[in-house]
Amino acid sequence: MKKTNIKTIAVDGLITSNPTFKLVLGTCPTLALTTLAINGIGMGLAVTFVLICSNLLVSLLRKVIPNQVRIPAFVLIIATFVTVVRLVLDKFMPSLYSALGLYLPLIVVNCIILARAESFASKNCVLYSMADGLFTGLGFTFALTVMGAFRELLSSGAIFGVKLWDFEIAFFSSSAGAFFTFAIFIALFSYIESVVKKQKKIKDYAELVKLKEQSAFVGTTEAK
Amino acid sequence: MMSFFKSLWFKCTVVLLAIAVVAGGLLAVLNNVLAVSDKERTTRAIKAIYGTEMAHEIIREYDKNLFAETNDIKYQKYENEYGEITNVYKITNETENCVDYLFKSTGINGYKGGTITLWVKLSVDYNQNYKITSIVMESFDKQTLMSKLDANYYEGFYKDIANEMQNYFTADEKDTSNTLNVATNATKSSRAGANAVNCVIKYVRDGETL
Amino acid sequence: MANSDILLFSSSPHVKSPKTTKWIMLNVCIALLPSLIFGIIYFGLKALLLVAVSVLSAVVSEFIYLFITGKKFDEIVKQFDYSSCVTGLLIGLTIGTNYPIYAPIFGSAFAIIVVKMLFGGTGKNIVNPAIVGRIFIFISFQTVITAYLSPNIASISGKTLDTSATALAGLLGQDGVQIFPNLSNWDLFLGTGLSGCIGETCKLAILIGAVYLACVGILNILYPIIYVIVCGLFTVLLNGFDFAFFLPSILSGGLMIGAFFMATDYVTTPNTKIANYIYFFILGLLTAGLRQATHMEVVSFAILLMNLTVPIIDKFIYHRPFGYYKPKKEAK
Repeated sequence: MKKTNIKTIAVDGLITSNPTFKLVLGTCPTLALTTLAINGIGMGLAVTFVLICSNLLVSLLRKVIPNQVRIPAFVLIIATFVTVVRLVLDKFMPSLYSALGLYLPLIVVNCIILARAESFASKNCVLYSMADGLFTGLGFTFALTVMGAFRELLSSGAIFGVKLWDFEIAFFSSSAGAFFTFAIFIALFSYIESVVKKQKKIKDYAELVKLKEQSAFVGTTEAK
Repeated sequence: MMSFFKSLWFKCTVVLLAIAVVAGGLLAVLNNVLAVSDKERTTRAIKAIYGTEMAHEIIREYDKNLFAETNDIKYQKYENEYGEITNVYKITNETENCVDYLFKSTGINGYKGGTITLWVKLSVDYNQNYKITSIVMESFDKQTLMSKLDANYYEGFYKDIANEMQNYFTADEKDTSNTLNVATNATKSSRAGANAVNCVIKYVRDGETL
Repeated sequence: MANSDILLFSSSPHVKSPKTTKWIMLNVCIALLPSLIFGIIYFGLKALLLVAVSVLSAVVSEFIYLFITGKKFDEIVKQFDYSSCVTGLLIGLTIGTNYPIYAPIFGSAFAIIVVKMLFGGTGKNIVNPAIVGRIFIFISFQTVITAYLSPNIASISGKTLDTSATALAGLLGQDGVQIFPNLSNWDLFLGTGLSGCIGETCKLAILIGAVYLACVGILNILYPIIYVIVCGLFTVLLNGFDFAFFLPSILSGGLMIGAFFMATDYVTTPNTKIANYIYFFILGLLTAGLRQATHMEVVSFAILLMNLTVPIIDKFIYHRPFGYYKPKKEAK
C-alpha cells in the first residue's frame, strides 16, 4: 500500500494517473474543446474548481452519506458546483461561456470528477481530498492546454490567439485531427514516462549494488 | 416508531434532501447575485456589434408589468407571422453617417417548432436606404446543428434591401435561383434565422414606430 | 548471425518466384508512368515538380523513420522496396497543379509515417497509405484551393468546361443544380479540356498502365472493372434509369485511378476470389451512393471505408480446404 501524502498525491494526479493521458477519462471535452489552447485552459480550470469543491464536500460528508445513496449524493454536490461555475462564467466571462457551450453543464457527468469522489474523496481526509482535486484538475488542465496549443498551432498558425505564421493544416481542427492528436500525446506521454522510469530503475540498481558491496566489505572485515 | 427513524431508507432520504435543500438555497442566493440582467445583455450585444459601448435610445423594450401599468406602446411586444420583436434601439452612427436600429428579434418555425433569437442591426442612411449590416446570435431554442449557421450564413443577409424592403428571405434548399435564399444544411434552423430577419423587415414595412 | 547469409530460414511454401515485393512495386511505378507523362503534357512542368516532390518526400520520410528507429543506412537501403515510391506517385497524381508545393510533402509524410510505418511497414498497413495521404491533403488544404485548373490542351469537341467546377462537380450537382458536362465522352476519356487532378484526367493513360499490370500478372483486371461498372450502373439506377449518366459518371472524377491503382492494393484487399468480388461490388455501390448523397467526389473516402472492412470480410470468407465438410453440430 502506498503511503498517502501531498507529494504522492501531486505525482499521481499530474503524472502517474493523469486523468487524460493515463486514465483516458473525460475524453468528450478533450476531443471537442481542444481546438484552441484558451478553451483547454478554461475548461481545465472550470473542472479543477468543481473537483476541489466537490472533493471537499464529499470528504466532509463521507461519514454522513449512507453507502447506498452515495452516487446520487455525489451527483447532487457536483451539479451544484457546476451550476455555480456556469453562473460565474456567464456573468464575468461571456465569451468563454459561449465557447465552452454545452460542455460546461456536461461537467456534471464528467467521469474524472465522479471517479475522484468515489475512489479518493470518500475514503480520505479533507486536506488530502482537496489536494487530490487540485492536482487531478491541474493534470487535466495541463493535458487539455498542451493538446489545444498543438492543434491551434497547426490548424491556424496561432498560439493563445497570437498569430505566428500564416500556414494552416485544417486537418488538425477537424475531429479526425482531435483523435490523432490525442493518440500522439498519449504515446508521447507514455514514452517519456517509461524513459524516466527506466533511468530511475538503473539508478536504484546502482545504489543497491553499492550498498551490497559495502555490506559485503563490512561482513568480511567482521569475519576477520 | 423509533425503528422507522433509525431505518436506512429514512437516513438516505434525509441526507439527500438535506444536500438538495442546502444546494438549492446556495444556488438561489448565487442566482440572484450573479444573474445577468436584460440591460447587461443588451450592452453585450452592442459591444459585440460595434466593439465598444454605444449610447442608445430606447424605442421599444418589452416589459409586461410596465405595459399593464402605463399602457405605453413602448413596452409592448411586436408580433407577426415570422416571430416577435421585443427590443428596438436607435443608435446614431456618426462615423458611417447613418442611423442604426438594433432589433432583438425571435424567429419561429425552427427545428421542432423551436426559435432563434438574433440581434439584427439595420442601417438606414440619409437617402432612406435600408441595409442589414450585422447580425449577432442571442440564443436559440430546440435548434440542432447550430454550427452550420456560420459567418457565411449571416453574410447571406447583408444585402442591400434599398428603400422599399419588399422581399423576404427564404430558406429553401431546392430553390437556388433566388438570391435571397439563405438555406444551409440545417434547413429548419436556417428558416428560423431567416424568420427572425424577416420579422424585422415586416416591422419596418408595417410602419411601426422607429 | 553471420550464418544467416548462408542459411536462409523461412516458412513454407518454398516456391521461388521472381515476383518479389520490389519487382511488383517497380512495375506499378512503371504502370503509373503513362499517367504522369500525360499529366505533364496536359498541365505543364508544375505537374512533374509536384509529383517529384511527392515521391521524394515519401521516400525520405520512410528513410528518416527507419533511421530514427535505429536501423543502419545500408540496412535501410537493402530493405527499400519502392512501395513508398508508389505511394508518393499516387499522391502526386491525385492532386491538382494549383496545389501549393508543401501539400504533397505533408500528405506523403503523413501517409508514409502514420499510415504505413507506424503500423509496421509494407504489408502491415490496414488502409492504403496513398488514399489517406490524398484525404489528408484534401481535408487540410481545401481552403487554399478554390478550383482545379484546366489543362493546356483544348477539348476535341471544341467546347469548354466551366472552369469553376470539374465535370463531376456539375454532374453531381455540387452547386445545387445538376449540370451535364458539356464535353463529349471522348473528351472525358482523353482528359482534353477537362480540369482535374494531374493523373486522373486522362483515362487512356490509366488504362494503358492497368493493361500493362494485367499483362505482367500483377493485377487481376476483372476486379477494378467490376468496381467501375457497378458504380456506373448504380448511378444510372439512382438517376431513374437514365443511361446517359453511365459513361460520364465512370469517366469523370477519380474513379478510374482509384479503381485501377488504389483499390487494388494487395495489402488492403481480401484474400480470396469470392471475397474480392464482394469487396469490389460493395465498393461500387458505396461510391455511387455516397457521390449521390454528398454531391462530392468520394472515391477516396469509399475506398478508405472499404479498406477498413477487409478484416471482417476475410474473417467470414476464406478458402475451404479440399475435402472439407462442415462439422455437424452436436445434438443437445
